Order: sequence, then C-alpha cells, then structure tokens
Amino acid sequence: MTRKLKAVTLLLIAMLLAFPVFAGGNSESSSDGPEPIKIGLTAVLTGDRSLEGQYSRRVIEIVEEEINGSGGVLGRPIEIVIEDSLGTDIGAVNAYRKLASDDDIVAIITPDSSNDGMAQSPSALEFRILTTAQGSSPTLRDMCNNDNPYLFQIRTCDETLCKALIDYAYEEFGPDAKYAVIHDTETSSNDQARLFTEALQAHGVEPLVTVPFTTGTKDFSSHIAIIQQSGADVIIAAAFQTEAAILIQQIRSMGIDSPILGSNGFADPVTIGLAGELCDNVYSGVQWVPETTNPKGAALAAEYQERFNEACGKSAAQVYDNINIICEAIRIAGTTDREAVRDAMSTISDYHGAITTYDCRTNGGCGLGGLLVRVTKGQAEVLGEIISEKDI
Amino acid sequence: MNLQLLFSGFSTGIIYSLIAMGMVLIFRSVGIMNFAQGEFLMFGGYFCYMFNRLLDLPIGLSLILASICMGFVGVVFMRTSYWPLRHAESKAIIVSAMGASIALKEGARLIWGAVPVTVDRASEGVVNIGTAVIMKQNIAIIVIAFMVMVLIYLLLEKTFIGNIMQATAQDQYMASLTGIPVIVSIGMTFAISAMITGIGGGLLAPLFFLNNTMGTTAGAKAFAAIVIGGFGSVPGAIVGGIIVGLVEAFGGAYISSTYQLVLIYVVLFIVLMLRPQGLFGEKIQEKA
Repeated sequence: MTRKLKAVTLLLIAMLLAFPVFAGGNSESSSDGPEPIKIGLTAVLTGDRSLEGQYSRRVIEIVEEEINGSGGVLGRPIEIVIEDSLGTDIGAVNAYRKLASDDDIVAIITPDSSNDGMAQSPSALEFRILTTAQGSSPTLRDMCNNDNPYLFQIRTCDETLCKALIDYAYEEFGPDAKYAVIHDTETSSNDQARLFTEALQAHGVEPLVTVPFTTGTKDFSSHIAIIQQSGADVIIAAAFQTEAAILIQQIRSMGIDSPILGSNGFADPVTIGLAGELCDNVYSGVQWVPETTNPKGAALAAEYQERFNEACGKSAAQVYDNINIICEAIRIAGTTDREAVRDAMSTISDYHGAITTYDCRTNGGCGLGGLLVRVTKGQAEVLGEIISEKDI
Repeated sequence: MNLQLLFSGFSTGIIYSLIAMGMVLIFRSVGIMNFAQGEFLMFGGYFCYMFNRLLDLPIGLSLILASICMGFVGVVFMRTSYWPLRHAESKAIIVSAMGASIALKEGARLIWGAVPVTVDRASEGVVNIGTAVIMKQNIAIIVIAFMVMVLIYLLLEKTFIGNIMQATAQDQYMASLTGIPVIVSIGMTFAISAMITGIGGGLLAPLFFLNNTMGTTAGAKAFAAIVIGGFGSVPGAIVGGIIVGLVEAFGGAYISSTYQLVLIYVVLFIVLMLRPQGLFGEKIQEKA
C-alpha cells in the first residue's frame, strides 16, 4: 500500500514538474509568431443538440487551416475559442459571458438556435461586442434590426425560405391542392409552421388541419391518422432532423405517398441518411445541402466529406460562413478593436459565402438566399436558387 | 384508424413495459428507483447498431449480442453507481443514478457520435388489416417483448438463480446468512434489468432512430407506467407500460396531439386518486 502511495506521489510530482515545461513550450512557440486573433463560438457540445457541436468542431479545423494557411487576418493567425452552450438559453448566456469577458475575443458567434441567440443579445449589448447569430427566425431578425446594433443575423430569414417553398408548391400542385400542417411545438418549428400557413393564406388557401406535436415525440401514428382523415393531399411539416426522419418514415409506412413540404430539417443529410429513399417526394426550402450549386459551398462540402467521411451538415456550413465573414469585417476594420469591427461589419454588402451571399448593411436577415430542393432516390436535388433582396 | 392506433400504441407501450420491468427488478432488489434505466435502452440500441451496422451481423444475432453486452453494462453500473453507496441514504443512490445517466448519455455521444443512426428491422414491410396499415416491426416488437417477458418470468419463478435473486430482494441480510452471495445476486438483477431494457432499445431503433438522448423521455414514461401499475409489481409494470402506450396513441388522436405527455400524467393522477398503490400494488399501512 505504502509502495503504491509512493509511486502515485512520484508520478504526481513528475507530472507537476513536466506541466510547466509543456506549458512553457506552448507559450514560447506562440511568442515566436504574432498573437492569434481570437473569435468566440458558443455551440452545443453536449446534450440533446450536440450534433451541432460535432459539425462546428470539425469545420473549425478546416476554416482555421484555410485562413491561417493563406496568411491569416491582418498578418495574424486566427483562433476559434469554443464554449459549450449546453443547448439551453441559460447555458448559451453563460458561455457567451465567459467568452466576452476575455478582452482578446474580437467577436462571438451564437449557437444555431434563434432562442439562444436572442438570450445572448442583452450580453452582446452589455459587452459591446460584434455577435453573429446563426438563428433564422423573423423574431431574431427584428431584434437584430431594431434592438441591438451589435447583433447580426448571418442567415437567410425563414420567412424568405418558407414563402419561396409555398410559392413553388402552389405553382406545382395547383390551386386546388389540399394541405395539412404538422409541426414540432418548439419555437423555430412553430414559427416555420406559422410562416408556411401565412404564405398559403396569401394564396387564398387555408390548411385543412394543423397538427402540433411536442419535441421528442417518437410515435406519430395518432398525428398521421388525423392528417389521413382530413383528406389532405400535400403535407407541410416543420421539425428537426431526427423527428423529420421518423415522421417521413411513419408517413410512408402508412401508405401515404403525398408530397411533403418540409422545413430545413427535411432535406438535411442526417434526415436523408436515416430515412433513405422514403424521403423521395420531399420538398424543402433550405439554407444548405451538401449538393449545393454554390461553388464555394461545393468545395467546402467536398473537403468536409473527404476529411471526415461524413456529409457536411448545415451547422458546419453556417459556422464556416460566420467565421469567414467576421474575418472579412476585421480585414475591413484593419484592427481588432471591437467597436471598429462592428462598424466594419455594417459595411459588408456583397459577401459571397459557402451558403449564400450576405448583405450586412442592416443587421437582420443578412443571408440573401437559399436553395429549393426535392429529394429523389435518396439524394437532395437542387431545383433552383432562392434569391431575395434587402430593403435598405 | 383505431386498429392502427391500437397496434402502434401497444407496441410502443410494451417497450415502456420492458423498461419499467427493468426498473421494478432493481427496485425490488435494492429498494431504489433507477433513474438511469432509460439510458440502458439507449445503450442497448447502440450496441445493436454496432453489431448490426458496423460489424454487419444479422439483426437477430445483433439483438442477442447487444443484450449480452448490456448484461456487462448492468454489472458495471451496479458496481460503480450502487454498490459503493449501498449503506448510504437512498437519496445519495438516486443522485448517483442521475449522475450515471448523464455519464452514459455523454459517453454514448463520445463513443458513437452525435449523428442519429438506425439498425435493420427485425421484420420488413407492412400488414394491411382492413383500412389499417400495420408495420411488421410493430408486430415483431410485441412478439419479441412478450417472449422476453415469459423468459424473465420463468427465470424468476422456476429457476434456482431466480430463487436466489428473490431471496436477496426480500432480505439481503438473511440471504447472506444462508450463504447467498449478495453481491452476485444483486449484480445479476442489474444485469438482467439492463439486458431486457437494452433489447427494447434495439427493437425501437429502426422506428425511432438512435441518439444519445433517446432514453430520457422513454424512461420518464416507464416511471409513469410503474406508478400506474404499482411500485414493485412486475405485472403492474407490464400493464402500466401498455396503458401508457395506448393513452399516448388514442389520446393523441382523439384529445390532443400536443399534450400526449400531459394525458399520461392525467391518467397517472386519476389512478393515484382512486388507487394510490397502483393497479397491481399492495396496500401498505403504517402503524399509528
């Protein structure tokens, strides 16, 4: 026992002695070159939505290599500092405040969820630091435009995508098509369902039935039975990837082969990977699919696939664009001063990202477009580009 | 529509029954509700995925191998989360189980990643009965879960091992005096509990897909099933699980699709009002 204790003590002493050597090694090497420019990223690394964190971590590897390999920004390398937002608004705020307290952090990227971005908004105002939001809700867009000069929505607003999809469906399926809406009750899917319904109503069409379900629902038989009884021949659906895949699988298994007009999650590689060819006849207005026609996006998708043997998800492409656009703002500002970088961001009007083109002259809805896709034989097929313009 | 709802409600319910049964076995053995039982479901599903999709084994064999792996997980869980705290207050053990639940969830994410995955179905295709379309997988779930329940009944009631486990569950001290190795007996209970719940994970995976949080909601529903069926009652856990599944299916279709979970708790509340000991529970009165 005593011998064991001695061995453990010696090991601990050895580790303690070794630690400063390693730490010193790191600081020495960093002092050789210029100090990195730090950009903060709050992402869900653990918990329910940790897939977002996996995509984020992986794409950071690509984007750091790309930018630093081509000389960095203002002659300095960039470093992305990532904090776990836990998938909750409280977690998002805590992660944000931790990053913002570090004076070296020039800008911060919010998690994918609009809710988390909105929760972080007061902290962005308090710390007066450029914050790019990944959420796509119209509420977040309005908050960016009206309430917080430091918050920029680097994403195409759902309003644009939902409207484009419904306009397409109205043309494709004719004015007599009968629609049913099914959606998750969490905020963003709820918003998307409302936007789909409003877009339908703009054509003078009322959905026959709207069937909400709570997040985490796995058995949709009762929901699908309600839709079946309504006599709808087109299903509009809003949900995240896993629920989308389960829903598609159960709809098809019950012998319903109606077109499904889905939110972002319905044409996501994860959804298609799970439900396979059952996803055929699913249409979606999306920010991103790896089959994108955008050359920069296609290059990213190919690099991601090659490096990680996995399709590049939306979160990865979003983080990629957010980091690049922040770097662009730093280049324009010519400094890492937080205020100057924020001001520079407002001058970006035609930045071509991997997902779309960005116009940041107003803070909300900086993304201008998306893709209209249909899933055929288990593959997302791009039907066309969605392009919007900003009223400045 | 009703037949369809009946089948899907019954097949989902019987999975809740398997989880609830696992919880009840542990509860009877050590007097503690295992709040990480839902994670056994998730881990079982992932083991099944590993054998079926990563090692390309047939689904039947994958389910059996996953179940064996879950037996080991159950024993390790017992040795790390229960045994060191066996003399502590029950609150400490419950907190330990909750901590283990988080560790299992995040452990699964580290091992298998965050991308949801699936496994092959035990039975492909659908069966048409009248206007109802019933997935063969739902029928397979019912059949396999029923077989597992029969096996567990035979094990507990008709075998020497079952007698040892029951004796330990009734009185650990007395069992030890008669030479029963209590740690082995409790370990077997945890192993069997994890095995039956793990099979549920493998059976559900092709329908609901696998991610590291799939067990959380299912665990909560299984707990509701236990309360409805009666704490400590194996038949109660089975019936309670099926009731929960059916309430979910029919309540969602006829009352509210949004408040399915609330409906389950309404039923639970009604049962507690009318029969506090649950449907199969025994009435316990404290002496004044």
